[in-house]
Amino acid sequence: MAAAVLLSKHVNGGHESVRFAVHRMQIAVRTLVTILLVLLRTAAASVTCAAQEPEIVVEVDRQQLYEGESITYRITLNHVEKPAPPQLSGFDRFEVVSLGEQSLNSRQITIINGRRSEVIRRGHQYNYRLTPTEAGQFNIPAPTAVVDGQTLVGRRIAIGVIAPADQDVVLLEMKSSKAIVYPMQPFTISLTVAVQQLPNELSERSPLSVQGGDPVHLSVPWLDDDQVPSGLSPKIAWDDVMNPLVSRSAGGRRGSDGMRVNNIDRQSAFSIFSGGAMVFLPPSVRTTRTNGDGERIPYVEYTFEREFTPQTSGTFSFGPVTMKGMFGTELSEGKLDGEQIYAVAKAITVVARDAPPEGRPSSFSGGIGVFNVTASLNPVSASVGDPLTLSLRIQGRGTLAEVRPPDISSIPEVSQFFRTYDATEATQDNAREFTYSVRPLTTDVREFPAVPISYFDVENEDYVTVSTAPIPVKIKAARQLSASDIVSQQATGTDSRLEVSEAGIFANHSNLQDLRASDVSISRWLMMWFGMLMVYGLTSFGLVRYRRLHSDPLERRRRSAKSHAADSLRLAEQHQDSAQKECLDAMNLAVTGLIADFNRVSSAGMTSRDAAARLHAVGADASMQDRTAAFLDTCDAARYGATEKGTSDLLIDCRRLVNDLGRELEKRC
Amino acid sequence: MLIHSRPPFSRLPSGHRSQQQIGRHTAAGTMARCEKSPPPIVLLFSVLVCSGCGSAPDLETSRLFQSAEQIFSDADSPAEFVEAATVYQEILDSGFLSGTVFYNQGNAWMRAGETGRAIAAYRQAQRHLPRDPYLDANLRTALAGSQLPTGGAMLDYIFFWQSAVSYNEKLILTTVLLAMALLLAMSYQLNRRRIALKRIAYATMIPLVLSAAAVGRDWQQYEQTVRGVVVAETTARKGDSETYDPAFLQSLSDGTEFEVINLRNDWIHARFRQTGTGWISSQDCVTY
Repeated sequence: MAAAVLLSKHVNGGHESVRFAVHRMQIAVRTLVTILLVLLRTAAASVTCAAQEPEIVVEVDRQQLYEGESITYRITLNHVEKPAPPQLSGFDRFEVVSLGEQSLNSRQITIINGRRSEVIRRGHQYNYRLTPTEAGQFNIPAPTAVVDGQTLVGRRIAIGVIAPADQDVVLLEMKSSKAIVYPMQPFTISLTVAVQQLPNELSERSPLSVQGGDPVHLSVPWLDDDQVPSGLSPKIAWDDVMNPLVSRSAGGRRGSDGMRVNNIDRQSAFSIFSGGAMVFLPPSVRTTRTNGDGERIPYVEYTFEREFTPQTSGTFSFGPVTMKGMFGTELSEGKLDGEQIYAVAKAITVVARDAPPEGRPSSFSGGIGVFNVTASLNPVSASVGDPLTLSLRIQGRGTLAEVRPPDISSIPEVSQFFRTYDATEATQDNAREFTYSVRPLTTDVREFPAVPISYFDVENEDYVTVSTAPIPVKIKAARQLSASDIVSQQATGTDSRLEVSEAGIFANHSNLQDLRASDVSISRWLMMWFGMLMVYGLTSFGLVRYRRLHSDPLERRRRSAKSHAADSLRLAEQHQDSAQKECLDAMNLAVTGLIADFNRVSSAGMTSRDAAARLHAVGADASMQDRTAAFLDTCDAARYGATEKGTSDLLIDCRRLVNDLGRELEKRC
Repeated sequence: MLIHSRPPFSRLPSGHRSQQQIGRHTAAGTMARCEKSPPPIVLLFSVLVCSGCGSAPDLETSRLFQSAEQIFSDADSPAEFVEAATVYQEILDSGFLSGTVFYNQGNAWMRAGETGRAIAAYRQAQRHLPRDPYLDANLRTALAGSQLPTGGAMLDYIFFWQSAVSYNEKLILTTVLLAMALLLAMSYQLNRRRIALKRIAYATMIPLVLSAAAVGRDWQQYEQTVRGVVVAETTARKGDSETYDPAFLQSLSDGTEFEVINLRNDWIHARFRQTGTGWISSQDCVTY
């Protein structure tokens, strides 16, 4: 029964437990399911991302443009993990300039009401500037890109390039001072903008002052440093070129006299100086030109110039230059009629070619420009076989980076007397230095010969050879090594290259902590040792002495003789009034015991004669002997009543005798 | 003089002590002193070791040393290096004998081109800094690669460590060994049943004798023998004047070392190692 009740209670209590456990399990399952769903979503998103096929997207900012204008061409590779630059084949009708690339990889996670969404993008974008080289309707070819072994082909884009209308209102002419140059040979690119003179009574007015608030626009790539072909170095920066050309005429409703160039306006750093749209007005001249009908037409010509210097050889393209805007052409009923004009100057090229092979000397270093060369040798005094350092320094203006180290081993005077090694190169400010290691081969050499170096002089367009000055040297015979001088050298390990120099001395000890006086006084040490030995000797002697004294029983007896006698005397005093016999015996023992202890014999049976004999044996005074014998005899007599002295008198005599006897025996024994 | 040095064992006047202080000192103070103070043997060894450490320089010596260092580091010409060596000599003349000063003076002489004087300074530095590798290297440089003097006798094999331990260190070692031997002997006397103490004491006697003998060798070498170095090329003669014939076919070069046998009328009777003897003018050499 009790068991049933207990079981019932247990079961009732178990309902609550089970209910709570189920609830916890439900929460756990719900949490687990949520986590699984999130993971599945993430996996699904990843799968979706992974499942998206790589694609190539091609875009242009416009499909209609004038000849000479450029469009922005953008290629985007989507869903690509490892992008590769696309290939632009068949773009012969375009001048292609890369404007850079950028990654489009991104990952965006959004959680709204507990719902988590994730967007992953993988992509890469390539930007180009395309400039059609001809007019007409044609397609931009499809670009291709190879991604993970798969070739992606983009779409073709049709564009229309409008040729400029045949007109004679605005004429653009671009030319170079030299079509072929050498590196470091400067040339000038000039642009002439010829604008037809305004008609009739307006002829004296500038043709660029009638556009109101919308001046004509000129696009000149080579006036923008960012668009200057690489390898060219402009003599003057673009802002220094354009700043003197800023139009001085006032703006306002009537507008300014001049033209806008390369969109230099408020957005450019250049506008900081003026605070408004920049209008430029180059120097102008009035001329006349003959048109196709043979008519003489007056023009106003504006000229832009810029000087460039090629740093390397190559072909450099300038242009095209375009100009568009409203130009005044007719005057009817007192009003000036305008015409929208678009003019183009086709691109020109300048070729910078390498130094000509004709007449090139063997000592040509590759340098183009104007240079001079100096040489130094260190040391100038050495033995045969010693290494000498030859430094050739070439400095000047030109293609220093192209200058190669001269082959000094090809110089007969050098190879005859010196062994040469490869040079090391270093570039410094406007100079290039080559360092050679040379070793003299003989003592006959008196100087290091001149080293010729040739360069191409672009001013005279001819090769020029300059030479270093000969350097006097003093070479003596090398010391002959004996067998004992030759030491073995470790053959392996990088450290075997290091050899310890035996020359020179090591540095001073400059730390004050190391500065200690360490003079030696041997006498002081000897005294210390002597003191130690003395201490040891005395200690040992004392120890032996102490041991000897404390280990011999006879000696101990002798040392305690006086105290024993004193004890006997005290005993005699105790028995002085009560027991005469014991008192007399104690006094007798005090005297005989004292003598016996000092003589290391037994006191038993010692008579007065024996005592006197012992004292005599140790050399005591005769009076002391007699006195002792007399006292002992008196004691014997008193024991039998044969003396008149009382016990107290005898005790006094005994005390005196013991004291005197003790001193005498201590002295004798 | 603004700086006053404190006496090492200063005493308070007796009147400054109160009775309470005296009582505490005599009772509990004695107990505390016995508990805190190290054993006498430790004190003895500490004194010995400290006596071997050498004394620190005083302010004047430190100033001279730094001045010499400054002159040395700024020197460009031999005359300026000679000036630095002179300041080092001033330190030595004041009685402050230090291996560091000798070494630096040797460097100054070397930079001044005075090889003989540099050798003399390095040799004296060796007495105090026997294991300094820089000193050894510089001395070898001064000797221009010639072999350092070696003995080769039986005693040199026994005392192979002779040049690796300084004179002062040998004295300390000998003192420590002597103290150990005496203490062991004393311990044995107090307890004769411990035979091991006796044996250890006898065993200690062996290094003690060797150490003492090494001290004797150093004493003979450093205090009983005067050595010298030729500082200017000269000719050794068979007598104490220029009228005597040359003692050797060759002249003596700067840096030649010798032992002094006798001194007479500014002429030194010198023994050149493994060569012979001759008389040289004292103006052409330095002795130490």
